[in-house]
Amino acid sequence: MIVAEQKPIKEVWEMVKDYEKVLVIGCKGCVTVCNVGGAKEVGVLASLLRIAANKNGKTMEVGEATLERQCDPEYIEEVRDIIGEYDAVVSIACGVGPQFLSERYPQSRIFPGLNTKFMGGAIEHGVWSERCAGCGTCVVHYFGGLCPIARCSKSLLNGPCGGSSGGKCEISKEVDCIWDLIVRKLMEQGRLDELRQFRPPKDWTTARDGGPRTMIREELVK
Amino acid sequence: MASKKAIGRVLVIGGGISGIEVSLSLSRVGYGVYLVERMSSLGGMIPNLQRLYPICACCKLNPKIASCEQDPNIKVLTNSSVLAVSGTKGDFTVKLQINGRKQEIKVGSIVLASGVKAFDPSLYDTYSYGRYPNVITSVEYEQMQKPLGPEGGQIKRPSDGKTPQKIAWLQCVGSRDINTCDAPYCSTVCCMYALKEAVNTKDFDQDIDTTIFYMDMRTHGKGFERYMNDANSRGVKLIRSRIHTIDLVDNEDLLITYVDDKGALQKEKFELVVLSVGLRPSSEAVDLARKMGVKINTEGYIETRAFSEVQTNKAGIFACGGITSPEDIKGSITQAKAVVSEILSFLKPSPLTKEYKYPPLKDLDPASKILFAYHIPEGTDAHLGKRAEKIASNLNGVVKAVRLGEDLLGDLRKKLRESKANKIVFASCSPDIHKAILEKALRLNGLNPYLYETVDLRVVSEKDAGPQLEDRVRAAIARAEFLVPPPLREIEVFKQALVVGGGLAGIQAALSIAKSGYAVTIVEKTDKLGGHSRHVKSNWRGEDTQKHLDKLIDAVNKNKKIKVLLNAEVKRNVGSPGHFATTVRQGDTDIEILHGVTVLATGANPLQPREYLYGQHRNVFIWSELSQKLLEDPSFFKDSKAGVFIQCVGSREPDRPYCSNFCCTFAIKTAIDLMEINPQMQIYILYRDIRTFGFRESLYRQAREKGVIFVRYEPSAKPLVTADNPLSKLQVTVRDHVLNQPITIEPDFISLQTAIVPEANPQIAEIFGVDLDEDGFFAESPEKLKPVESTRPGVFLAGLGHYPKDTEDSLTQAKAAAAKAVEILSQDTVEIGGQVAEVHPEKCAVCCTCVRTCPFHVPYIDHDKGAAYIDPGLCEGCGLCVAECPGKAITMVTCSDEMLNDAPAFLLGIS
Repeated sequence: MIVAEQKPIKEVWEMVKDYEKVLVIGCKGCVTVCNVGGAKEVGVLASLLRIAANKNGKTMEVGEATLERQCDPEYIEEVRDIIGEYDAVVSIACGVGPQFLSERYPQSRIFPGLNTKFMGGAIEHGVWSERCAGCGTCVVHYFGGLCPIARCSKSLLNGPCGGSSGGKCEISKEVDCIWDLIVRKLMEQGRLDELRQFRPPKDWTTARDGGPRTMIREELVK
Repeated sequence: MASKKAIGRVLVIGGGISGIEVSLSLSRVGYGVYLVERMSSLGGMIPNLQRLYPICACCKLNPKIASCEQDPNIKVLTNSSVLAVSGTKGDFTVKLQINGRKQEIKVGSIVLASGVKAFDPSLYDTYSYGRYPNVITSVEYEQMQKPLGPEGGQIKRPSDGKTPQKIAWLQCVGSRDINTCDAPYCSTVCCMYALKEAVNTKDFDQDIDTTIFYMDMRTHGKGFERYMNDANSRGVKLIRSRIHTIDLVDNEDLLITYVDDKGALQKEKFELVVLSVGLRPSSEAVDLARKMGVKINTEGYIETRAFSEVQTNKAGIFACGGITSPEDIKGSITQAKAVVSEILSFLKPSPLTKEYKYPPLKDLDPASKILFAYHIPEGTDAHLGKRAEKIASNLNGVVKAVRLGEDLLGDLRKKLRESKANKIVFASCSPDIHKAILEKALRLNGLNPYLYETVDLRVVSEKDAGPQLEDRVRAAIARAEFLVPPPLREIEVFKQALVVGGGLAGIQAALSIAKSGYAVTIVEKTDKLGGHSRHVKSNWRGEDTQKHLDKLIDAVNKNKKIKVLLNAEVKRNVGSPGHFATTVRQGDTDIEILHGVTVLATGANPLQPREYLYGQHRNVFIWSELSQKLLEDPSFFKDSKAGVFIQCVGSREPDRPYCSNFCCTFAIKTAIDLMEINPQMQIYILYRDIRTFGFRESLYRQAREKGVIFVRYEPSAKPLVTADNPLSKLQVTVRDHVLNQPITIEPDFISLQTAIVPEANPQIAEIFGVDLDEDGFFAESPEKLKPVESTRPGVFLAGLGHYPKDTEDSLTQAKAAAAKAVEILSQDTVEIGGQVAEVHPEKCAVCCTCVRTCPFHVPYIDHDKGAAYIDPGLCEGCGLCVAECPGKAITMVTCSDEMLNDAPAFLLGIS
């Protein structure tokens, strides 16, 4: 899933403090699953804005809505009838949400309520970890099912580097060296030899480096 | 068979924790109970205590007392005593004196549950109790620690009222001593309570120096060893020395002289000395038992029959708790339940009152009509209640505000009827204990039992009581306005039990359930019943275990209600209490069993050690092998000159910080047995602490008298076992704590008392959805003081999978589990719903938040529905998932968002 975190309430407040009617829009997709943008969080953020408005002596009416997804136009339509009543909209979806809303409702002021972090999963309740960098050419099978593109600080394909120490990456003791884990995994599987294979430099044009990406599945396009 | 049973009620003598537990359990399975207590209130010993390890004393006891008093099937007779008993099993006539009046009752069975009293140390010169003001007993110390006690929880020493900075506890005062106090036994509970008192002292003030002087630290119960380790790390000092003198020095301080580990004489000054006094049986109870013809043992307690810790020599008369032997609270509760099981096997329940028939539920009138009712015990100041009444009567929605008399249920019903109210707001001190009554009153008036709110008057402080009370009453009434009736549903109870594990505990549990009239299936993974008890020669009392086991297995085979599935394993389990389905695989076939309850009696195995040449030398055994050898080939020991027992092999180690409970008793009993075969044999027991708790202590004394040599070793200097080759002579070298130098023994055999490890538990726990404790044994219910209940309702525990215990304790626990099982099986239906969480699948994002947050592991993702599912029969109604659900897909009607949002608004006057 796409993992996001809430922007500090002060930042959100600064964005919308001068508006009298604000609509908070959540998303039932990834951000609900990572406990940051579902119906509950919509309610919490709306309450926080009301409290902030009260504290600052302002009048602010805050509306609440949660869309099935903010990454499909059909669901963006769900607020068609009400969005015009609001002076500002805070989208608490990943970065896709505010953009889809902005594109569909060009008259509205749309603000992002979240910072989108990465593609990853829950290690345990409340802890998420990055797993995929969306490079466009998946290679995890070469590395015991572990992705060095997303999980090595340098995205090395022929690691580890000299910065690996005690299983940790030199950038921080909190960060596992994925190459340490890759080596261990392949040792356990008795396939360490496979790492002798040199991996040539990757073609990064399929990743962000090739510019903004669009994907077309001809057979699905009408 | 059931038709031959006599029908009757039960007399319970003694209103302490055992008496209360036995009465409540009896009532739950349908017996009418007369609960006789000499004193003016129930509770026994516990109200004197500050905390019960590990929880507060009153919050567990008071609701139980209230339940007894409120139960129409229990007649609580305080200030009462038994004058005479005549008759036989199934038909006793009892003369009672109740508040001075004489009365005669008929009962089918009698339970002696009058417990213990603390030893009076003033008889004991050594400790100068009564002469030196700052020498007090542990009971007095706990009184001081009680936040609601006379000192308000402040620790003050008697001489000058100062908080002592150095406190010593002296163990075994009035226990393990035949010279002065005539108590050869170990009182079982004192090590733990001394640790508890010391830890609670550290909680009060970490800087107070606490030292416990002991002979052996006996932390042999579930979780106890960890508690001791934690106490140690909190700075509670433990010094192994029995104190012979206390001297009074300046300032009423006390000087303790002792010999330390190294044999050096030490003197240390303390500001307060606490005597950890032992237990004595209640003398009145013992006299009464004697009059009834019940045998008393040499220790002065009630003698119980072979392989039954609760059966007296008189048929139909049972005993439980402290009157049978020194027992801790959990042990007493287990025995109390075991008694119920024994009674169920021969007596059909006869209730005191007819069962209530509930009228059908009426539809709720949309307009809230609230009855505000409060209860202030007679004789106490009612001003708070009167103020609350005045506040409430002026609020919208309240149709009547009244004070209730002592007949809470009757009064509530009447007022509900008169006022035509459809909801209750109830105020009292600790309204939690009255919830059952509120629910019953509503139900009897045809209303949904969850349409009530409570106001706790105890938390209203005297200062500014007015505004606080106003807020609380208004908030409760505002919340009550939002109450809507939660859905309720009755489901059928499958009148069958599933017992997993065919060892001793499983067999006993199955037999007890079957004798109560219910079908049982035993699932055993091996090809025969008996488990590890097959290689146990005798129980600690010397009674033949094999004979008893054969008798039980024979009874199982003959009992038509019991079905045994051998070579079978459980694969899957779903459902809730009363309504479980389990898949058992036997060979290639899957068998589906529908059952109302489950007893997990899966047992445990002795650890296979890697140390001490085990597996390398043919004469190094683990305890179970030695025991088997003693059964099958006793001649092996005829020519042995010496044998060594090494204790705590794998137990009480950093990666297994628990005591395996019965190994000390086993080693000592076996040593005695071996010396009977070969009196010339020299036996050495290498130990860390000897933990022959309770009457088992007599074995320890007997072994020393017979010449068994006990050598204590430190975990840092374990015995060394060597041999030149697998056939050559063994050599054991160990540092003797008395000589303070190494000694070498050349034994013919070695027995290693290895840790008991519940190897099957992780798998079983996964299947049955129960928790394990930190040591891998089945965890007990988080509600505490429920020693046979797992973390999942309807799943009960017996035997070693729960914690290591000997034959006697396993049998008792199995009977207790059976009694709990029958509590459910004896119902025709169980009600589900009420205060439970409900998932709205259309909103569910299947994010697993509820699955991960639920402390009871109830929610799961139902892949057919594509949404989370919460079984209403299992949900505890804590509301955590409701609060956490990121999609707001989970609700609980008894505590809705609307209620939470709008009730404060009402309070602030902004709605």
